[in-house]
Amino acid sequence: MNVYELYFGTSIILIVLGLYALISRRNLIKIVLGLEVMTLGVNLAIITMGIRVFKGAYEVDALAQGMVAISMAIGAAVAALALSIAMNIYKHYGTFDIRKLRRLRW
Amino acid sequence: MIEHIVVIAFMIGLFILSIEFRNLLRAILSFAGGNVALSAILYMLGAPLLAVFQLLIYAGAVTILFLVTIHAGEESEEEKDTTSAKIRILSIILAVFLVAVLLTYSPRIMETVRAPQLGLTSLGEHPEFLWVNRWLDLLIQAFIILAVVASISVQLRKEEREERGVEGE
Repeated sequence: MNVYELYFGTSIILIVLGLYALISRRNLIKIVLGLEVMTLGVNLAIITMGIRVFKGAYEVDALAQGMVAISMAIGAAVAALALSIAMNIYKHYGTFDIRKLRRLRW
Repeated sequence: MIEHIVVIAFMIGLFILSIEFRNLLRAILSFAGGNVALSAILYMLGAPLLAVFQLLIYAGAVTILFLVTIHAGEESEEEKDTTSAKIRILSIILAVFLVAVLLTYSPRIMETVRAPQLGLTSLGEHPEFLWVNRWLDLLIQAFIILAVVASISVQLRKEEREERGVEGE
């Protein structure tokens, strides 16, 4: 197993783990956590595509680093927005359970 | 290679715990631990700038946001076990199937998808590429962050208006 397979496999596991959380969890906080884990998996996949060995040491291509830096900032912004919506939902419905969100009217 | 495998196993274990813990506080702390492990992986792969970003943004800022949310919602206690067994089993089967399919095809994907090589010869050139030649995507990033800040402030203002409306009645 080389370093590409190892890290690509890890990123796939993270993405699937996030997907599992999105499908199976009912708590909004857990769903946002799953979304973040998926984002981390995608970031790791981009990093993996940029790995190369330079004089016996690993290094990551600058383009991949730049893309992941953007993705991290956007991921944090998405988390902040999702959590603010979750907070509003809690204020309105009194719970983070998504099955209780049956009424569409605010 | 062994140290990479150990840190990866540690990180995946922490992320699994963060999804499986019923207590939200423990789940968020496991998530922060997983991010620290991911930061260590990035450092080992030769991306120290990204490792620092990972620590600052995910292990720091995003974790604090989660903590603030659960404390504002006052739901840091045990999460009720509301997921039905059928959904849980179905999602585990789906997850295992996806992992098997993607791991089977990942060597082929890796052959076709590879980031273009920029021809940089040393790590010393990376900061220059990352910060000098990135004006366009930094601009787009700034717009996205501004949009998110605006929408969060709209959400919070709506909350204030609702509270004032309740008081008025």
